[in-house]
Amino acid sequence: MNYIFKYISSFIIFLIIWWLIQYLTNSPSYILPNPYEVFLSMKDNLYLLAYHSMITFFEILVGFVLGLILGMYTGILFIISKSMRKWMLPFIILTQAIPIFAIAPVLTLWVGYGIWSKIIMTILIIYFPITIAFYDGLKRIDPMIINLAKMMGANTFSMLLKIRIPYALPQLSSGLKLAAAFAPMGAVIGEWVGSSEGLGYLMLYASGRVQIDLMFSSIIILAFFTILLYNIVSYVSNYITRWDPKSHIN
Amino acid sequence: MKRKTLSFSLQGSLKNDEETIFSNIKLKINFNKWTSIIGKSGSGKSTLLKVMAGMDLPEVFINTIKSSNKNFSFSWMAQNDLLLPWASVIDNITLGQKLRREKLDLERALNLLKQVGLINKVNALPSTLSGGMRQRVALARTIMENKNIILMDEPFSALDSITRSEMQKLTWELLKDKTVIMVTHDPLEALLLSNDLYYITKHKLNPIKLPNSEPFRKINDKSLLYSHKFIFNKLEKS
Repeated sequence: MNYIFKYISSFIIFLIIWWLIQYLTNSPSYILPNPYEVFLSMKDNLYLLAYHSMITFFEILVGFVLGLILGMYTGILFIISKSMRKWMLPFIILTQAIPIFAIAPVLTLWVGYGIWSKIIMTILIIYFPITIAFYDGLKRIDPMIINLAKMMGANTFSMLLKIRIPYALPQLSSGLKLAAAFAPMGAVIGEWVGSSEGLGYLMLYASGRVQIDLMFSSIIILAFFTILLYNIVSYVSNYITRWDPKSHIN
Repeated sequence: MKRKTLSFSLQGSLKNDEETIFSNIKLKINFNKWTSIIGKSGSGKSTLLKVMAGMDLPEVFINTIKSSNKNFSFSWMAQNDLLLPWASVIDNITLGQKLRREKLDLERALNLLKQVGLINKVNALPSTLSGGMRQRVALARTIMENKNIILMDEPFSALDSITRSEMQKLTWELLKDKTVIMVTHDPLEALLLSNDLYYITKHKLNPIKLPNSEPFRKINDKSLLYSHKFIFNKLEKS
């Protein structure tokens, strides 16, 4: 309750600052609309915003889940196979070395204008933080615990499931939180580059028609969804690492 | 569990990049007895214990020690309790059975918890326990494994002196009929607990004649104090 109150109060402070800036600079609404104008625009375009939001949310969620599965799978491959690690790590770094804006048009060309190019963008953007965080967690285990488990007769599978993966959860949590903050970016960049639906598309559309209030509405909805996703991920992360005092510094 | 016909023995040398750690040592372990190996820190005693267990050593080591460890199974207790932080006390004790996907013997686990005095901490997480309690959980886990040979790497050295003395007594009570090999840097601890005792000097394992009394020895035993002084001098010169 206290948590939600803090969010609401910082949102109100944000609105006040926004309003003040608009008021003091006396900006016209095609440069900086005030919060009330944006609110009205949201009300008027409710269905339009809802439709495009649903599409973006769907892309983000599917991209997040697939990126998570793929990233964890790669982390596990790295820990059980040295050659995988050697051959795949440069490839993964390559996915980060190429600017995401440069890949986006190519992806659209290959996969088409539909939602899959956006989902792949989202996966690309979160794959790296999740893989690296998870792999780091999997390997950063006291070697004596591995020795102890081997002595107890653990095989590769039980070692992973009962020892390595639980140990890696605090590290994975950090990767998850980064991914939650980055995932919406992937989807929106994908929409900018080529699409006819989604919040990214709506922003460009509104900007082109100088409907800045509609553009701001899209931004606020996207920000709201990012915060929501981050908080859900954060809650789940805290739950799965509740045994780890280092993950819970007040 | 008794394997009278086989013997657990070691023979060979151990080097690293720069120096010899053990040169042509020989060791034969008596079953159902407590054997201790004492040495200064850096003398290679923990590494020797790892060799016995057949653990992988870091690449800097050149190990030519032959050991009959293939014929035996081992359990391990170290200075660091190595408890899994997310698992409750009972889950930690039954870890071996879980890793091997065996049926859990909860009755035995609870009985062991009773013996180490932690029956009221069955579902507690390790982070909520004191150092002494955690080491008792580690002891219960070690016994739960029911292996031929128990290897102990300075199991009490992280504890305060009162807790250490309690732990030594408790451990001895629970393990006196087992085959135990313990490395330690504390001469007194070794003298209280051991049936056979070796000290490390000049890259060799040298046996020490122990007082005639049986372990667990009394600390005011005169001959024990004499042996203590003897070991101390030897280690100092080593």
